[in-house]
Amino acid sequence: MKQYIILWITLLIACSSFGQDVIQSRSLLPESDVIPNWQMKDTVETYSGDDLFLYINGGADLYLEYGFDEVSTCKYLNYDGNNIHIDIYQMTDESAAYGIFSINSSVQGKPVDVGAKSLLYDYYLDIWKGNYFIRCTANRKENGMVDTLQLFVRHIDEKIEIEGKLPVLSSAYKLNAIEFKSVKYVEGIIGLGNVYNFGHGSVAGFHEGLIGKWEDKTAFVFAYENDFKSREWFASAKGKMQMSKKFSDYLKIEDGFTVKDKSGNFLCFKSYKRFMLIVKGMNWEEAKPLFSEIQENLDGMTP
Amino acid sequence: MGKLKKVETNTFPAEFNEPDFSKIENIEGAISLAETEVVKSWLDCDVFVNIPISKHHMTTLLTGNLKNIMGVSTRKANVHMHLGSGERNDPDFLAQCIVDQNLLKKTDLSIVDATEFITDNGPMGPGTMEKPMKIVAGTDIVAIDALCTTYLGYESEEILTTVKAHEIGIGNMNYSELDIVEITT
Repeated sequence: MKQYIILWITLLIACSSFGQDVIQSRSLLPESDVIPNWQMKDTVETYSGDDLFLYINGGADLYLEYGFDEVSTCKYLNYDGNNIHIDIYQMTDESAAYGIFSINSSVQGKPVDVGAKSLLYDYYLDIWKGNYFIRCTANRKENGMVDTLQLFVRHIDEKIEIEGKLPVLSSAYKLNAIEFKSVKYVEGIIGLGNVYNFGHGSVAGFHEGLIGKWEDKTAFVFAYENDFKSREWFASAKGKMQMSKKFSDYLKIEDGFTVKDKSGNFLCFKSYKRFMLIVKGMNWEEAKPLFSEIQENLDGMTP
Repeated sequence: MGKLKKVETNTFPAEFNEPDFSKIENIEGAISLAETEVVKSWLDCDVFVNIPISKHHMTTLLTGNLKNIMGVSTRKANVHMHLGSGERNDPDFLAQCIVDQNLLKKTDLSIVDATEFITDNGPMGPGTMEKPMKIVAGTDIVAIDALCTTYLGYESEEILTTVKAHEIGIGNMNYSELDIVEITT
């Protein structure tokens, strides 16, 4: 009997530590008239796993690279003939959902107080919360449509209890000297290719990475499985950069190297433990303090 | 010349049906694409004019003439190009499949819209806009893709579809070897 009680207590503790169960994305969509005067136009469509290719015409690869479970989508109409389209992407974990949110973000977006993070554009609103990335799109930006987008999104937001934590790697970019204009989180080469192209296979093999932009400069941090893999990929990048027609002026400096792109920008590469660090737009001496600060943050990273 | 008719098969996602699509089980010269399903009217037309936009694509880096040919195949065939190598999201396999499908039909004329396009976060966007305000026309789709690549800030050697199409003999990626006439209006 005593053993059963202990088992029950253990199970209760285990269950409570998981918090809210993952809600199916379709159940997050508001029913008709939950937002007054807005009706669901058709039934909700849900696409799981590789069926995402049936929904997205170009771009499904990126979602799958991060880790994608399902998307539920529905269109709403009001009496004035306006429409709002909602996509709720349920990703495999919070980092994947944040990654998709970040890669879709642009400096034109204005933060809104909803979800863990959200950005409002002219006619659409993106939010990240927990395992979900939600895009809510209006057919026009006038006549209070943007306010209505927020009503829809707030309704969805209330149903998701878990806020979501930023990937641990994000703490590497808590820097004193720099305030990034944008930070994108990637989990593979497709995400990276969306932001910058070092040349086919030059920078690869990482399982996560951060890309921060400020002024006309960019800082990259790529995390590898272990120190050995990191050194291996660093050596590969070094070889490919020397051969590349896209870059020139290769120079080995201290524990790294620099090259120049066609616009004359320096790119500084450095291997540090299980990470590869790259700064674009600074020469080696300028990049050194930044490398040091990022390295300190990487050392202090706690899951 | 065959009479043009209104085509109703340009829907997404395109699904195979007997009257409108052909299943091709052997593409001569293909390296990766063992079979595909394409719109019959593409294979049957007397003159094929390819009119893509030149813009960024996350996996192939460029969507242009060669990539545009994924628009004539069924969703099933396209998903295979994305996932069929055994390694998920394999850019090399995807590029080779695109080039292989291009072996099925020669483009007679290409007219590429390079007026304004996104240079990142493609193909869906939103992304960083560039406005070269160019329209590029010609008969060598590989040369045209190679030229358009430069408008996105890439080298033609970085685009796997271009390199593979050049290697397989679809066209010449060394566009500077060709006579290019630039007309300004």
